Amino acid sequence: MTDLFSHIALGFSVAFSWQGIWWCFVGVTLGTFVGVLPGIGALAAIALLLPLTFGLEPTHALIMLAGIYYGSNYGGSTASILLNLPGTPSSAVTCLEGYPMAQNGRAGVALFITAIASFVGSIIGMIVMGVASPPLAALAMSFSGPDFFSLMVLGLVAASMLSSGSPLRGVAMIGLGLILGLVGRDLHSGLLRFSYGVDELYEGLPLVAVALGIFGLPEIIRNAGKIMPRRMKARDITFRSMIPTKDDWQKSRGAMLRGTGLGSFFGALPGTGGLLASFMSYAMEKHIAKEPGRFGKGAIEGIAGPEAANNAAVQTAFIPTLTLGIPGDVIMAIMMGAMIIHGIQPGAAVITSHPDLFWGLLVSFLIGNFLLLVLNIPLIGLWVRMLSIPYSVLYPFIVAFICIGVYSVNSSVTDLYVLLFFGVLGVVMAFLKFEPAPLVLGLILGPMMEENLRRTLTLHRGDYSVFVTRPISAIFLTAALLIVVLTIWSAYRNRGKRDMAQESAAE
Amino acid sequence: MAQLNKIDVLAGLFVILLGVLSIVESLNFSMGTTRNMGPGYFPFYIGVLMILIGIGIILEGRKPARYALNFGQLPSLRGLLMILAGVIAFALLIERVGLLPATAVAVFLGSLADDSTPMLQKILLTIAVPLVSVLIFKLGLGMSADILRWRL
Repeated sequence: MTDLFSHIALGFSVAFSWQGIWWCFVGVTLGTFVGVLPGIGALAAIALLLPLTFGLEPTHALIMLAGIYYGSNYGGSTASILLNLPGTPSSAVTCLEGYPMAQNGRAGVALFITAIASFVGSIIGMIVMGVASPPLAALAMSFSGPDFFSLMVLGLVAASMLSSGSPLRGVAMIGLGLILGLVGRDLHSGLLRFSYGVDELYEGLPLVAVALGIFGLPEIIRNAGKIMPRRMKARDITFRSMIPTKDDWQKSRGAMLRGTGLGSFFGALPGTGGLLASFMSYAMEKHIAKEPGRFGKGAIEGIAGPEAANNAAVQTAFIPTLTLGIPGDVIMAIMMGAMIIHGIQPGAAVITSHPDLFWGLLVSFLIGNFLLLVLNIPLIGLWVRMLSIPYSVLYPFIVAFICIGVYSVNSSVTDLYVLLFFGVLGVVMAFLKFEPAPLVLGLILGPMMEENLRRTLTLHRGDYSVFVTRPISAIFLTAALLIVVLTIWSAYRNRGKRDMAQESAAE
Repeated sequence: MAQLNKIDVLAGLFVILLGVLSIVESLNFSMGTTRNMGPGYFPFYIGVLMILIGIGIILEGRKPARYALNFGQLPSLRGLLMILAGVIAFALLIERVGLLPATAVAVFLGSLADDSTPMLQKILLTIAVPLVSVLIFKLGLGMSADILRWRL
């Protein structure tokens, strides 16, 4: 127990330093900014700003990058409520009740409750992270090669099966990611693989260029020249209009706590994250409501629950990344890439070997969420005005920042061609309905998987059965298998249901 | 028998092609044994896996047409070409003429992707964006690239 207190004290000393507070402030402000603006997400923002953190202490770099991530979640709901355009995918649910509330003249209340729910979810998620991570990391210390390999299989299976779209397509993109992860010098033989004569790729594909190419460029290409609907007039949100009624409070309180519970749990599972948690929270609130008829017309529980869920999930998503070295989603994968660039190998050893980083980051969430409360309640008018910037003005800035950002990582023109290649790949993938997220996960995990597989099989004389005879590894593989079976089963069942629905509709 | 769905066939072929590429590349290296894996081992088996997945995706399209996925929307050709041209121009220019002109050309080409805005706006952006970028990246963040240089 004294241990925990001394750790928390360490965290406070790191996070409450001037630099800690400053980088946290920069992160959450930028996060809110990119969250509010539709068309540039947290992922692109983090990838863009990653090169800028090279000069910082790793702890400050992570504090800032994490701030962008959870800050964008606060901001994302603003566009959802006011424009019915989700700024981030996980705030899509907030449109369902938030936009009707805005149309009823209750935008202020919706924004206020969103901020409070996000805050509650984040803080509880943060506590869960602080309590759950050390024992989990201690457990992970006893993992060996086969266990890690199986854990990565589980993470990738979960990510592909539970993400949106067809599971087979998800697996295909993971496979492509694994292949792309092999690009560069093979550590055992020193040979260059998949470099096709481009020797500059010996260190592997540059992560920033890949991420911006596959997520950033197609987005711009798709949206440039499209007339964006419903431009916002700078409607003023007065502080008075934000104060919820007693009834609003009563309805939201339980929803926030239930949402936080769902979010904390699903956030910590690899591959699921905030999107699933927020949808589940919405479904749950609708299910237990006394008058479900209010949903879709501006039911406040429908914002409070999902927003709390989504933010709690963002915090607990750090648990697998920092304790197991397995990223739960793409943003965590990029975050892991950032740690590796800063010379910190993510995994069970982070908490013990870099306690200042882990606890400092944890405490910075506290600071960041307080700052976000200030940014999102008294200063909401500022962000609302920002919504009126037209995309045609915005996107040339994004093009320039992407080019410069990618180039600045290694001062390498090759990286720009990698950006271009993945931009085109991203357009092709969108045309064929492939999701880019599993690809990036595969890309990050690919080299680690190969390494663990090789080492394990060398140690066990080429005997594959070690993966099922070691209990920890067997548990992970069983869980992965279970997810596959459940996915196939539910797809089959839903198809049956849809069949009936289609037929009865046809009659 | 239900017909194959075009998008699934194309998507499946795409995945199979990637698998074949992976296998072809893996053949350049020794496979090794399971006990001592060579650099060709992992890519070979992932390639095999990709081919199987690709076949799976094609067959997935064998369901009745009413469940069919539709092709994603293709972006406008103008948007695609102009944004890509902007990136290419930046790649060609950054080490020859420096940050400011390279960004300006990239932004101008990129702004042509949107044909609904007046030329004056494009020109203003072409002036403003590079200046802001230099302020942020060069002065604010100490990026090492030259603002202007001449090395053709």
